[in-house]
Amino acid sequence: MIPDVRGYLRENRMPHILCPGCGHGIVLGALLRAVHALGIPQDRLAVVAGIGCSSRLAGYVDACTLHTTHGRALAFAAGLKLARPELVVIVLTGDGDGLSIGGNHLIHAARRNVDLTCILFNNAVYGMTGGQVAPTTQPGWVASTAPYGHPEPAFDGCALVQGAGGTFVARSMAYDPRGLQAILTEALEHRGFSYVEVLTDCPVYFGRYNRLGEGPELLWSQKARFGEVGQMLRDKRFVTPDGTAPAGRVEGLRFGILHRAERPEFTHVCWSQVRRGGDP
Amino acid sequence: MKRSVVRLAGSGGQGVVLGSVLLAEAALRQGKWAACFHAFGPEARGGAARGDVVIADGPLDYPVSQEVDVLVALTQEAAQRHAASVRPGGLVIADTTRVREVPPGPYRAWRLPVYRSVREVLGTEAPGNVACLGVLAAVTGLVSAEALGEAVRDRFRRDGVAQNLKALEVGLRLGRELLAREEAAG
Amino acid sequence: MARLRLVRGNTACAYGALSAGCRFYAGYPITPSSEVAEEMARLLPRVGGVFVQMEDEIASLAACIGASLGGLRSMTATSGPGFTLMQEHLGYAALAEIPCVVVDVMRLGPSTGFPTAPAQGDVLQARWGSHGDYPMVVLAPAGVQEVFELTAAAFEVADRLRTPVVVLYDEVVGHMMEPATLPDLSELVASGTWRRPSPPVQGTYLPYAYSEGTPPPLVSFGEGTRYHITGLIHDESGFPTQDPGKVGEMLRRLNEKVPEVPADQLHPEGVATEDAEVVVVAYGITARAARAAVRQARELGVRAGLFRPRVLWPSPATALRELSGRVGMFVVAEMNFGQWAREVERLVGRWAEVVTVNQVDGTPLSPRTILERVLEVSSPVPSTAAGRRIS
Repeated sequence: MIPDVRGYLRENRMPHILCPGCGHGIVLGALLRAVHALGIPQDRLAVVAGIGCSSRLAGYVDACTLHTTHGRALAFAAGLKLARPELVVIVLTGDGDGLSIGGNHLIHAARRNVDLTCILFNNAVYGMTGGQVAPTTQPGWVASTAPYGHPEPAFDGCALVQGAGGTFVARSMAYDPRGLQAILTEALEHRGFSYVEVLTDCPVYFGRYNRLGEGPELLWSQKARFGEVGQMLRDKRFVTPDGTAPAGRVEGLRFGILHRAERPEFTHVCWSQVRRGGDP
Repeated sequence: MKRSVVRLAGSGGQGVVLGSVLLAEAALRQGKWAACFHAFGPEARGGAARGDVVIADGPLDYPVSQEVDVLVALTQEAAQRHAASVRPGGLVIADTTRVREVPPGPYRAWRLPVYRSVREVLGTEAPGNVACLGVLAAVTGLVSAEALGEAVRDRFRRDGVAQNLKALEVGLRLGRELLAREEAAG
Repeated sequence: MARLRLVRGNTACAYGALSAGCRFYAGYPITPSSEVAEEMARLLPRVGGVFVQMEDEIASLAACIGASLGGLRSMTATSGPGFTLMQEHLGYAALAEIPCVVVDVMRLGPSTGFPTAPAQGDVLQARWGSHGDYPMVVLAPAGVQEVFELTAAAFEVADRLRTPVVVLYDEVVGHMMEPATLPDLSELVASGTWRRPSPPVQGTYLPYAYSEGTPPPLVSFGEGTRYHITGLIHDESGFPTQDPGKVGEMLRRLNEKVPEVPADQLHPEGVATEDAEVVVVAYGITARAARAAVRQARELGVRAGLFRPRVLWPSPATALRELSGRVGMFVVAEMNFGQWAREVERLVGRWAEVVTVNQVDGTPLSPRTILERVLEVSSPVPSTAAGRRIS
């Protein structure tokens, strides 16, 4: 049975700004169910977000919520977490927010191993500003600033964060909300920097420009593009079937929990120094 | 208000910054007012470095000084570069360990083997900066040997105190011997 | 026990912050401000606070704002190039009304400029560097003791008005060592981790419900009160609004909340202005040179005075206008090409003549240069050869 998590929402802020068919709400639902399952009290929960469609979700969560500047949510969150280590701090960011303008903050948060749970909504497009290419847009796909097909390769955010030292790295998709919830639960439980990249869809721009259809079709297309997800998540293997994508290729994306490591957590190290009064 | 400006000039790593701070702290201990200014190039070691100390009877409106009364030059480059800043009638103390000649000018120029003497006595040149302060105290009387000793004791720990106090003695001796020679020479 | 010692300006800044209860510092190294970071890195863990060197200046101020929301008084320090990067979050802190303190130790610019040379070229950027209309408090200490005092005051003002406060001084003030009375470290250690007290909240917390022109005290995150902060234009509740009435009202209140003298110790200083015919206007190290120049001018029989603002923004309009009722000539001395002089001209230009003396060559303005300008403009037939008339 799916638990009722409306208590975690600011229902007086509804209706929300997301477009019909947007995948972001599925991700938020999975997140709130994970928070609920872990029994995290709302007063101990802080949600920090950057700029973009996904970052607007912070305002709908009934917690201490901080809507910051474009790309910088992780830096704000690091300061908040250092000041209040007892808070569970979740960072919501988009692919443009987290991997383009905020790329530097992302790799350094990973390197420091700050105990934050960073959820990156990857819809391969800038939605709020009108469908421009993102650093996650695969070559060949169409966007408002790539009318003839995107000429650049895309970032693999998970590989980037793992390379930078992130200690929990996972990828999931809106198509698989139960799998996503399971991953988010583990991410929230992880002590250190956890990064969960979630493929979600923007029917209004990405779907329309690339003739992928509306919300349901996009979800089905996720499935079509990425095959039998459930089995592959379990097997931690992923091979992209080509020919189903209308343009370009989607390759090499792996799903599930891709990397886990134990390293000293930054907030803990800092406050240990304080407790020792600065003695090494 | 009367002000005296001392410039310690050399290269990075010779201790001119710390030397200037110790000099100013000694002046403070004697109830004077003092300020310090430091300048160096982008190199942490080997580049030009200087420390200016302004000593006055009371607080100064504007302690920055263009002209110096005493220049302590620790390298040839420093002597060359800063001699022109010495006021007419001022004094240049050149450490002959690294200064071959002092550019001629309307000032007295005294040459002393400060860092070399410190090496001979202590086996290291490291506290040469403190020895320079000893020379200064002996020949100018701007600060007392006692105040410098207190500043050294306050600044260093254990072994450092003993070594730097010895270096201070080396400088004081060099300074006093120099004064004696000058007097004998009339 | 507080005691007199030889202190560097940047060290005094760190002590001022710690004595005001600052327990969080996030920064990025840059000459000539780095000593502030180094002192904070050394001292903060000993007094119960956290230091972090961030990946850049943008992140530094972001982390300060985050920590401030967590209840820790927070500070960062930088210089021109970093200050430019911080404009993004100065605007954020101003709009979201999160207290924080930003120290800008001015070096010669623009761009990388002349990193070790003093200048006063960030004065207008400190006021107007971010986009949009927002309030800004900029304090300008002129000596080491005052760096200590004004940095401490900056935290009080920042908290009371819930706004970022900039402490702005030049390289000379930052790097010179002068006698100053600072508290002993043991006193600071004894105070331990200090958190801004959060007022109790009855019902819904409205973080932007002003009363008597001032926002309500900030409730820290994690204190059991859930609310929303955003850099979008918001209403009293903190949530975004596009209602023109609310947008206009919110921005009007925001831009009117800072009083001309934000704290008692921040009144401008006047020296010999009672009977002055010529008043030199200067701040930072230039004010020290100006004070010497004024003294020398008096010895030469010229009735000169000094007006030294401790707060550059908001500008001390009342004090300057009052002075212009009896002084006909203002000489604004700055290590820039006349940035604050524009403000003086705006405030008193209808009643008095405003001339400038400027120097931007990597060396501080000397008393002699200022004196020459004073003598020039106080002679019966003023020459206009040197300096510029503001137009």
